[in-house]
Order: sequence, then structure tokens, then C-alpha cells
Amino acid sequence: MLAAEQIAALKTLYPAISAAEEGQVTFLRIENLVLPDGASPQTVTGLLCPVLRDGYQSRLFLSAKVAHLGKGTNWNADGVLILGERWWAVSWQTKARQTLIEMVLDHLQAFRK
Amino acid sequence: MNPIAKIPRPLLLAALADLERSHPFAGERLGFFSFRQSFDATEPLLLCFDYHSIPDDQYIEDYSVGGRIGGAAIQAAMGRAYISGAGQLWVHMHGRTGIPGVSPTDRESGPKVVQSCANAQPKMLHAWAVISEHGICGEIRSLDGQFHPLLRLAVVGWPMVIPARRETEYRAFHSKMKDRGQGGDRYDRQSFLGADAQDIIENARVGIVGLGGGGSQLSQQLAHLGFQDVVLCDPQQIADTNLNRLVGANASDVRDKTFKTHIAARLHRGLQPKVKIDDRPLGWEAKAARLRRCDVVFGAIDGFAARRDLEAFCRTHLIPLIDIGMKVLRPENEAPEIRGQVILSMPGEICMHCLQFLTAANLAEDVQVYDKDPQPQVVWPNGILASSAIGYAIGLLTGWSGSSVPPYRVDYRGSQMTVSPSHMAAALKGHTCTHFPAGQCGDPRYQKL
Repeated sequence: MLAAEQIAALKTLYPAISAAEEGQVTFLRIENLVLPDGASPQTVTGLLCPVLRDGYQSRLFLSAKVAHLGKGTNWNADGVLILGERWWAVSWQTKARQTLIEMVLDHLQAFRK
Repeated sequence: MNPIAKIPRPLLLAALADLERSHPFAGERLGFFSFRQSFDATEPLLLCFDYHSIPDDQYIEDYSVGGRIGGAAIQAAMGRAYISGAGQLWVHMHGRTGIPGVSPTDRESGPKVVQSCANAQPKMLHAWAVISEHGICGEIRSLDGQFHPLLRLAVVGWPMVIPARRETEYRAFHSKMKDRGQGGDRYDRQSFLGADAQDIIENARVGIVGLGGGGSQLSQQLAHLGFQDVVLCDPQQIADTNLNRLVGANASDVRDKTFKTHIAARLHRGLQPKVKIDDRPLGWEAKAARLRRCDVVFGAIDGFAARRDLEAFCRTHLIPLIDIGMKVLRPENEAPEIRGQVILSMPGEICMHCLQFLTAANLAEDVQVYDKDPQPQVVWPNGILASSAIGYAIGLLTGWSGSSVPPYRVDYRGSQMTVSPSHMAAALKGHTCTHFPAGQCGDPRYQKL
């Protein structure tokens, strides 16, 4: 179950959030996710897996394989199909026990110069 | 619009058992399936996941029709459609077996009940039909309010019922093949599979994901068996190191950098010139729109994460997935060992997570370990595993061996030359899969937060 206060906090930065489940995992879809400067395209849709997946504490999938200046260059989720759409994610480990907003901000570091 | 109603076999049998019960005064019982839709303008799938019996006291005494339900039963269906967002399929039966037909009364009353459900939940398809173990006949209401025939049923379970496709065309082709053969029908020797087995095989649509050592053998056997509708998924071109096991390939393919799907398609067309084959060299994710229409999918891919994603996709569309894989173990100071497995991932039954074939540990290692050495591979275990997988598929499609379901996983051990039922699958007999709940199928349903 996703904590209501964490969702409320996330919505302060990203108002358009929705949730859907696949394979016992609740994914959060984040519309209009703005990536750090230098990313192209800079605005994408994000899909946050807020639980352990593929050995990562959480994963942030993007709707496009963006060009960027950050350190996250290993796109080891390359066009995977989740909830009927294709997604891309870089290898980026986040800390355990983060809140939803901490997770997203941590993942965005992968794309920051 | 050419919709397909897909119903898991246990759910269909439960529904038919309910509909067969006698009623204090009504001559026919009626019921509702709840379904999720996998929408596509030409071939939408109605993925049934629950059945709702109608209580005796919600019938109206009307001897001019077989059975009539009152407002309470229709309101309950409308409530389900509104609250859960599920489509409603209103059903009754005219007989347990055979291909059903509809009566003038059905044609008159069916659309009215369906329209009530659409009033409650206009974003979903709704339908009415007469059903049996083998077929369906009714109508579906599309989102624009038009009614279209609903004539195709897929029963997902052991054995399957697959929806009819291009029947006339296939029959014509099949009769030509009979004429051409020397000394009889090409398929005489496999006629023990059942009187209608060849029709089923020729009518079935199957997908193969991964056309390497295992997938190429799957493809070859499907061609020999007579399959006429195949979706091949693999983005790779052949390399020299594939030639030790990739059936159908030759040295010039390496020089020409031929795509693996094209090699498989060439082999298939050589045996079945009229085959309808999608051999675009793409990964399965890019061909999901075609793969969702398959009756059965074979997985012959490397890696655990890819298997997880493919299984989730197949479960979402109620498609049985038959997965094969092998690994060569090379323990220090010991002889190598070959381990392989065939897994039948049947919607509603135990999955690869339940079998502990997919675990957090192996998924993490699969994704996070870089610069992996090429895994050893050799042709004959691929052949054994592919043959076993084909055996699963033919049993599933034709039911030639009766209704007893084989183990959901068998294990191959190369040093012993054995294929044995998996202990884990046996231990999980009767287990209910919690990873893919029944209602979690169809198009994704995002909930705004």
C-alpha cells in the first residue's frame, strides 16, 4: 500500500500521478516529468516502481531513451514492456527506505551533469 | 470488429454447471461474466475473470420465454460494471456442446440488457451470448453504441478451444494439400491426434519469442506439424557462433547477416507455402500488438527479467506461455552438467514466480551483472526441450492425450538424459497463484491519485 502522505508530497512536485498494478507491483505513472537541464527530450512520462526490482531498491522508467549529460548511461531496461507500454531505465541504485519523492529526486540525479 | 471472448476453462465449467441447474419455474438459467477488455479496434479481447450466478428469486415468471430476469439482476450487473469498471457478458446456454445459435427472443432481449450495462459503464464493451463448451454466438456493443457479432470463443485451459479464423480458406488449402500428397494426406501419420486436430493446428495462431537454438527448433517443428499462422519475434542477425545449433541456418546466412526471423520464416515457407507469417525482425515488445492475438506463445529467450516481462504480458492477455531454457554448469574439478526446463505458464495457474524459477536474486543478477561471458550452448538439449514444448502445445491445443494436465514444469538433466516432472511443480499442486490475480488482466487501468 502506498502511504497517502507520501503521495500527497509527491503530488506537490508532480500533480498528475496515477497508479496501476502488474504482477503484484503497484507502479506510479508520473506525467510531465521534467528531467535536469541537458536532457533531450527534457519532459517525459515516468513510471516509478517503488519497490525492489531487478536488485534495485526502486526504479524510474522513462517513456523515452533520452540523451543527457549525467552519469546514468547504462540503459539496462531498454524498451521493456510494462503495463502495455514500452519503457527505458538506466542502472541507478537508490537508498533503501526512501519516501516516494526522495526516490524520484534520487533517480533524477542519474541525468544531472 | 471481430471480437474474441476468452474464458479460463475452470470458470467456463463453473458457469455451465450453474446454467445447467434446473430452476423452480424458468426453463433456462442466465448469468453474467465480468471481463476486462484488451482493446483493439479490429480484434478486441473480452478477458473473462469472474462469473455471477443469478439468484432464483431474481427470475420473473414468464412462460413465453425460456428464462427472464428481473430488474434486480440487471441492476446488480450495472453495479458491477460501474464500481469495478468490468465489462458484462450476459449469457445462457441452449446445450452444453456444439456451436450454439440464438433465438429471436435472444436477439430482442440481449441488446436491451447490454445497453443497461453500457449506461452504467460506457467506457467498456458489453455483450450478450449463448455459450457452450465449444462456442459462442451473440453480439457485442462497441463504444460507439453499435452492435457487432460475437462468434469467437477461446477457452483457456487444458485442453484449449481456439477461436475459428479464416476457416473456409484453410479448409480449401487443406484439401489442396491432400490432393498434392503422394500416397495420401501429408498428415495421415499424425491423425491419431484427433479427427479435428489438423483443423485446429491450421487455425491456431502461435508466437515464438527468441529464434536462437531453442526457438529455431520450435519453429521447424511447427512447420512440419502444419501451423499456418505464426508470429516470430527476434531482432538479431545470425552470427557464426550460432551455427552450431540454429536449425535452418547455413554458412551463407552468416555472410549475409540474415535475421533469425527470416531464417525461420524461410524454413517454414519451404514446408508451408501459404503460411501467414510475421517475420519482421523485431523484439516481442515491438510486436506486442500481434503477439496479443496469439493462442499460445513460446518463450525461448535468455535471461530472467525478459521471462518475467513476457510472462506478465501473456498473463495480461490470458495466453498460455510455454517457456524453455537451458544452462551448462561447469563446477570446478567436476564434469559439466546440462540443466534445462520447460515451463507451462497457464493463466490462472502457478506461474514462474510460484515455481521459484523467477526470484529476486536471479532477477537482480540477470539485470545488474555486466560483461557476462557467452553462455555455453549446444544443439541437442535445445532439441529435447523444444520437442517437449511442442508436446505441451499440441496436447494443449488438441487434447489428444485426454484431459489430464501434465506437470507445469519438467526438468532436463543432460548427464542422465532424463526429462522429469519438477519436484517444485508437484509440491505446488493445488496452489493458487497470487502474483497474477484473476481480475488483473486486460488493458492497464490507471487510477488517478
